[in-house]
Amino acid sequence: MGRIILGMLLVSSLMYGREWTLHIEGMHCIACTLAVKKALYGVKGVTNAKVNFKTQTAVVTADETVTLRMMQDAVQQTGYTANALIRH
Amino acid sequence: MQRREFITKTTAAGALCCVPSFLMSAAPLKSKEALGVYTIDWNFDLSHHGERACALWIPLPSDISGFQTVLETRTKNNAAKSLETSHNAYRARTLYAFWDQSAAPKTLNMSFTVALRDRQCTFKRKRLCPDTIEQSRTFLAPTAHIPTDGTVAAIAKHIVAREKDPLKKARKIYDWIIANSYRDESVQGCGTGSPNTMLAQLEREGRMGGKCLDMSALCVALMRASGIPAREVMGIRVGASRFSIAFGTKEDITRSQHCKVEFFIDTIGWIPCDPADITKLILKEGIDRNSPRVRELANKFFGFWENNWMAFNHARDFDLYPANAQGTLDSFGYVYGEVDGEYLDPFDPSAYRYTIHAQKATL
Repeated sequence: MGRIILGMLLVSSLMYGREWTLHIEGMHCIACTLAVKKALYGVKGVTNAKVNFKTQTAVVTADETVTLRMMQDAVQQTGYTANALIRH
Repeated sequence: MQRREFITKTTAAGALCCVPSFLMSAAPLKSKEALGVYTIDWNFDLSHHGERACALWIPLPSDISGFQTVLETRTKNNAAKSLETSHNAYRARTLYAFWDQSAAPKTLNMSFTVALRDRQCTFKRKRLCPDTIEQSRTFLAPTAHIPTDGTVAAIAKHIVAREKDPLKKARKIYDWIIANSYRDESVQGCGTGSPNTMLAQLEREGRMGGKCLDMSALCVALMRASGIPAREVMGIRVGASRFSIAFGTKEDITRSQHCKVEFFIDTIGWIPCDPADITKLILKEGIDRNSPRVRELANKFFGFWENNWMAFNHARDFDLYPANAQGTLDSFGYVYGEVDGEYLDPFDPSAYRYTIHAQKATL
């Protein structure tokens, strides 16, 4: 039974992904959100990314293959810094 | 204002003392060629965003006594909410439209006729009312994108040196920007308007590349750091120039946004200038920056704006009304849009389907 539940959770997370909220440093105007968004979508496994200048955050939906380090590296290459706030 | 009223009233406006803040010192020219009348058509279509909520904030031109009058405005849209407002820190006139998720199609059409006159500063000294002088002081303060300390302050001090006359200081800054910068066509739109980015490039490479917002913002920052109230004026070219192909546009003006500068002298008023257009002249005409033609037009455009350009606002680092999801806007020369709270890239044709057209008209 336990294996079945574990299997279902795995399938569920692969299908629907996990949501991360990242704090983005270095955005100085609203147009910066476009560069951050593009960088996050460049990470294989990211299915959705919403970036907000006002809150300086990015809400990212990604599958289980995506790690915080992958997103941080991608964002850093565009000149910004990403730190994880919450992983849902 | 009616069309005939515009013709009769504007000839006297330059002589007024307590006229609204934009204008003053520069008198409208009376010759026939100094008047330009245009019909401007804007068309927006956000229908391809489907069942997502869409919102637009569109910069609109305001009347500027003596130089710019919006004669007729017609709008047609199927937005759930639309309103015209100037409720923001800079009183930037804005058309706001909001479509909820169910709206289909999501379109907006707007057209207006605008009458524009050449604005030529006479540089004659006169007494300005204290309120006007006090209001100008707002434009000495730094903003998020317009620093007046650090490198900006050091460079400003170097440029103006021992000069005490504010008008001569302003001219030194204007000339310094023309001498040290070049138009970089790879920059998107009008640029980001970051003086520190420009100055960092100058330190690295010995000169600065950018477009109109970049050079105007640098000019404004250096002037403010030198004690001269100054501001960027966002606007759009609407027709051909009498002076150079570099200063004009064709009928499709969707990408013709252009930023100029105004600075304030207590004994003269607000004075226009445009260092960015001189760098564009150098590039487009392929001429040397020390050529007689560049010198002549640099002189002309220190204290002048032509009637083929329409001003929107001088807003910088401000909050829109109604409030947007993304927060403080750095400048407002392009339409600003959001879909489900996400920023729409004004340079991406898949995000926006919009066009702006201008046609010569008559009164």
